[in-house]
Amino acid sequence: MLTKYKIVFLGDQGVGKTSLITRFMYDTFDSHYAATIGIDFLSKTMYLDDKTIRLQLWDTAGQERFRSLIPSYIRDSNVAIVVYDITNRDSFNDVQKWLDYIREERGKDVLIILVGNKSDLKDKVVTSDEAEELSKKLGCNLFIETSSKNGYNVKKLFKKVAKMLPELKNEPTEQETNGNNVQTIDISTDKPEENASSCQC
Amino acid sequence: MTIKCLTLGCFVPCYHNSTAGFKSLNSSSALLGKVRDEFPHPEKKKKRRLLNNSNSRFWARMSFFPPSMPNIQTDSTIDICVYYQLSPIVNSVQSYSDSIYWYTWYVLFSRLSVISLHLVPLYFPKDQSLISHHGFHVRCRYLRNEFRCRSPATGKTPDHRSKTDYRRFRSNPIFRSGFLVSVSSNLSIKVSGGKRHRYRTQREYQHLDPEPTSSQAMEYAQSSLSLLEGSSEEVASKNMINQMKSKSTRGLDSDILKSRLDRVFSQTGYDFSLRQSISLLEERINGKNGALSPENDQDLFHQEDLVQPGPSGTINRRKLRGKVEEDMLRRHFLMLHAFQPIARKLEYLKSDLDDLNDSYDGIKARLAEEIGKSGGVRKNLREKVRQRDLLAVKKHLLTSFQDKFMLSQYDEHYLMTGDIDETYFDILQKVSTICSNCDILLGMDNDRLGTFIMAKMGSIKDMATDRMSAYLQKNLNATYHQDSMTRDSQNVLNLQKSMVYIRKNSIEKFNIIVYGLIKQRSQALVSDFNAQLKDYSNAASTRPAATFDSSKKPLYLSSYDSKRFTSDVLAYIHSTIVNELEMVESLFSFDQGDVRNQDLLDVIGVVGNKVVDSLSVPLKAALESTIRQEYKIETVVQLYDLIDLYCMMYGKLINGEKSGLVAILLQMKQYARDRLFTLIQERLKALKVTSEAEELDEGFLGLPDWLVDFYTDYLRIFDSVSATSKNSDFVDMDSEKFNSLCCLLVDEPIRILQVQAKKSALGKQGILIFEINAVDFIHSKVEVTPLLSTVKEKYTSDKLSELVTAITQYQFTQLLKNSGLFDIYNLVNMIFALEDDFFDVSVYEPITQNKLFRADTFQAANQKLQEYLATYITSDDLNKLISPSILSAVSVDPCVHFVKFYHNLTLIVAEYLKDENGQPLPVFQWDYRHVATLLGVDDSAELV
Repeated sequence: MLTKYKIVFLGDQGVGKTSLITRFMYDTFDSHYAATIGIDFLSKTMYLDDKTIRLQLWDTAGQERFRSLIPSYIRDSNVAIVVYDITNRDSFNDVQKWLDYIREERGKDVLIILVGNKSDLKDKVVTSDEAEELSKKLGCNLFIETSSKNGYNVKKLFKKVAKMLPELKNEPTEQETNGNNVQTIDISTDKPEENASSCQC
Repeated sequence: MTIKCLTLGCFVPCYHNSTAGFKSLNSSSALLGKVRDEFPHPEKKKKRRLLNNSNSRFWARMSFFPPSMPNIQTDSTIDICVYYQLSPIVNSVQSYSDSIYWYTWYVLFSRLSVISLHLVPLYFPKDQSLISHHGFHVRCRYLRNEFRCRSPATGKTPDHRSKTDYRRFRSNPIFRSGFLVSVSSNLSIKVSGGKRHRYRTQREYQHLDPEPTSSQAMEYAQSSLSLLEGSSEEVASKNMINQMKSKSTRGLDSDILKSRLDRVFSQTGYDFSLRQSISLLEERINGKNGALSPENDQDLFHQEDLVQPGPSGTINRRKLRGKVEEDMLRRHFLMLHAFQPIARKLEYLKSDLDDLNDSYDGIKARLAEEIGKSGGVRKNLREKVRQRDLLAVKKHLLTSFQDKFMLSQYDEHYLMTGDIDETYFDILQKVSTICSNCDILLGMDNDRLGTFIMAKMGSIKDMATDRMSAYLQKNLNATYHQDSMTRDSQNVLNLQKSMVYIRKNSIEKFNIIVYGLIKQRSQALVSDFNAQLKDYSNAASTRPAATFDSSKKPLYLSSYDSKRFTSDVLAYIHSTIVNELEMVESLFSFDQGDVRNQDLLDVIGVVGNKVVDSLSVPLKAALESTIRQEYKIETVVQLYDLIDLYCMMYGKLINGEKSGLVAILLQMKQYARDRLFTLIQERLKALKVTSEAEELDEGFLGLPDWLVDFYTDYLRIFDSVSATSKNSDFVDMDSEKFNSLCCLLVDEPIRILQVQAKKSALGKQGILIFEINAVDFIHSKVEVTPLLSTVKEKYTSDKLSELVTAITQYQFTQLLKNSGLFDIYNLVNMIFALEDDFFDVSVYEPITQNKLFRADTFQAANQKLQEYLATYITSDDLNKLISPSILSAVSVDPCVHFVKFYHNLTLIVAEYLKDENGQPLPVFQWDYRHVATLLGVDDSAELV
């Protein structure tokens, strides 16, 4: 039975939410910034080892004037992916605010993924350690650093999310059973980048 | 008569070093060439090239067509085949046997008509060329049975192989028998055939009358054939010898031999080779180990006897010849003896073949007899066959007609009761084909059949369409509900084919189906939507928001917040649109199967839009209710922006121009805009009533509370508007509408203020101060509000300036009146306006003629001025002005003006008001500096 899962992308303006989705969907990257107006929708079917799921990706606008729309989309989402820019301290500081939105709407009945985007940039101001520490503190289910520009960890992010999704439906989340047990992914950048064209979904 | 002749043979190794050898080869090759001229051969050029190369070592290739070549066996155009066996190379016995074998093979299995076997055993040692004219003579030089080969070119003895070859050569009985010489000296082609050949082809080739050109060769061939016929060895041998003997007398001319022998033993023209040959023969015949060893002394051979003249010489020579031939034939017989088993086998086969032929003849005869007897039966049979063929034609016609114009019972049954699958559509395709084929029947003179078939097919199509319609109505919605990945692709394909078919054949039924689908989906969506709204209503009415459990709260907002409610509703519909479009697109996706119908692609948009449009009515009700119940004007504007945003977002998913949902949103935008005006108007109306009832505090004259509240509440609507925005950016208003809004926000409150001030008990100064304070407040709000400032800033500024001017004038007038100079001021201004920069005392001379221009007038004014100015500085009427800038202006400007007037007046009075003596009268006690000081004007000297 194919199940649809709703994933909402949250984060400050310009952290790369749309680029992350575009990289995942079309394996492309557009360096020209175009602010998202309102909420954009995209969907994609993923074929896992033993099942097929369909992901509905809701790309929210980071601008303040659209902030009022976001709770309505968090409400019935299965996964909330909070994105921050590793070169922008303010976007990282606002992660707490986004987590508050999520907790207010969904409580603990949602998978929360913390994503540090733009790992390809050198002027990194948010270290992986402090981001990982924050993810543990906030009870995120997964923390990962990605780069929409070169595709680093993008597919891994969605694969991880997809593999965590079916558990959501039948079993209590790991967080619920073990508390703040955050699953982390090795984000060291000295590893070879995954091939952007090796999409298996 | 032309005879096609095929020559065959084997390799002849030849070492050429003499002209005679070349001639000899050339002669024999000429024979072959003669044959080849009639039967060209691809080896011809090569052959000629080899023969013409007289100064080099070469191999003369005499073999042309290998026996295995099929064209030899099958080419019926070949009349003669000559097997030209020149010389075995190594093992002459084997080659000779091969020759016989191939000859036999040709006779038996080829179609050649005449075959002549001409054997010319010959051996060419590598260092010896045995050539003479018109024949081959072996000139071998050997001593005590040893063969010594010597190359004529190098003079060396040849290698061991050559010696070995020569030993084999010497062991060849043919060579030793002397047959070599006798046969080779009669090289020619005998056109003849054996017994077997005559048996097979005597009728076909009886026109051939070959003339033997070499009797010996002919005899030899006949003897060979006789051996093949399988007669006893002895008889064959004797016959062959006898024949050879009898024929030899005819074939050889003793004179020729005599002449040759003469030439051998003559002193002139001595032929050493011939003599040497004879010597060899003598040694061979007379030797103990010779093959021709004589049985008694009488048979000894002496070459001197050969050259004896007369009959004795002749007898001796013939005797020698007979011995040689006898030995050769004996050896020949021994070789042919090896083929006797083959001949026997062939003979055995012959008897079987004869039996078969007899059987064949018998069967043929009986068959002819039976055929004669069964004439009547055959005639009857032919009639039956004709009838059968006629019936077959009729059957074929009927079958073809049935195939083209009729459905089988199975097909009809399947159309009525079978599943709607590929077979069903194949049958429907057949029905369509029949309908199209009926054009032929309708074109005939009698079109009843065509009409009947057309009607029948039409009814079948209608029935099929009805079945498919029911099938679609039953299954389409269920399939629509299924997830795309769980759908049966074949089922979806059948549904699509059904829809295509129905759309093609009955647009009405298609519309009904689509309408039914839309209706079912719409009902489901509306039901879900209403359930959500109901949950929301229940939650909002029964439980306070703070107590809602986050995990159990309804879809919509748990606390009453119209903006959040609207956002939730629109987000829900956004998700619904997405899901519906995904479902309908997956249902009508034509990635599978062969369904390609552009019309159905349009259906996707239509169905999607229609289904989603079903939410228009409940959405309108929900939004309308929300907007109507909303009294906060800024919330209305936020709702408007929210609806406008979702209008855009929906437009990305569905066709906004055709979508009822988007149309509803547009209506709601208009409704929110109207609601905005309505709220302002209602508020102003309420303010008008309340302001009239409000008592103004004369001692305060500050801003009324309603004004502050009004602008505090209503100017928030512009909070989301940036400084660079245009009028149209605010709730999509045009200029006229926006001006109306601005009038409501600015003009109407000012009007209410004026009414309120007029209806109050305030004096003129109090009214002006009240209005100035209010307008200044409005102006300050307008000034900092984007969009509003562009329209109303000038208006409020002008209004404020007007009020300030009015109060300034009022203050100046009060100064004049209170100082008793009001009439004098008017008098002076009547002569020449004091406001002008120009001032000349002489201009005012006419003032002396006015009756007011008297000393007591000015003395009284001076008295009032002193009394008024003494208390002016302490008065606080103007301090009720809130704006400091306005207060400053209103306080200073009238005083400055008054000081200027007072200064000019003192000058005029000093010039024209004199006593009887003509001296000026000092009527004013204070000069203008004192007055300025008392009025609080600084720098009075600069004023004048």
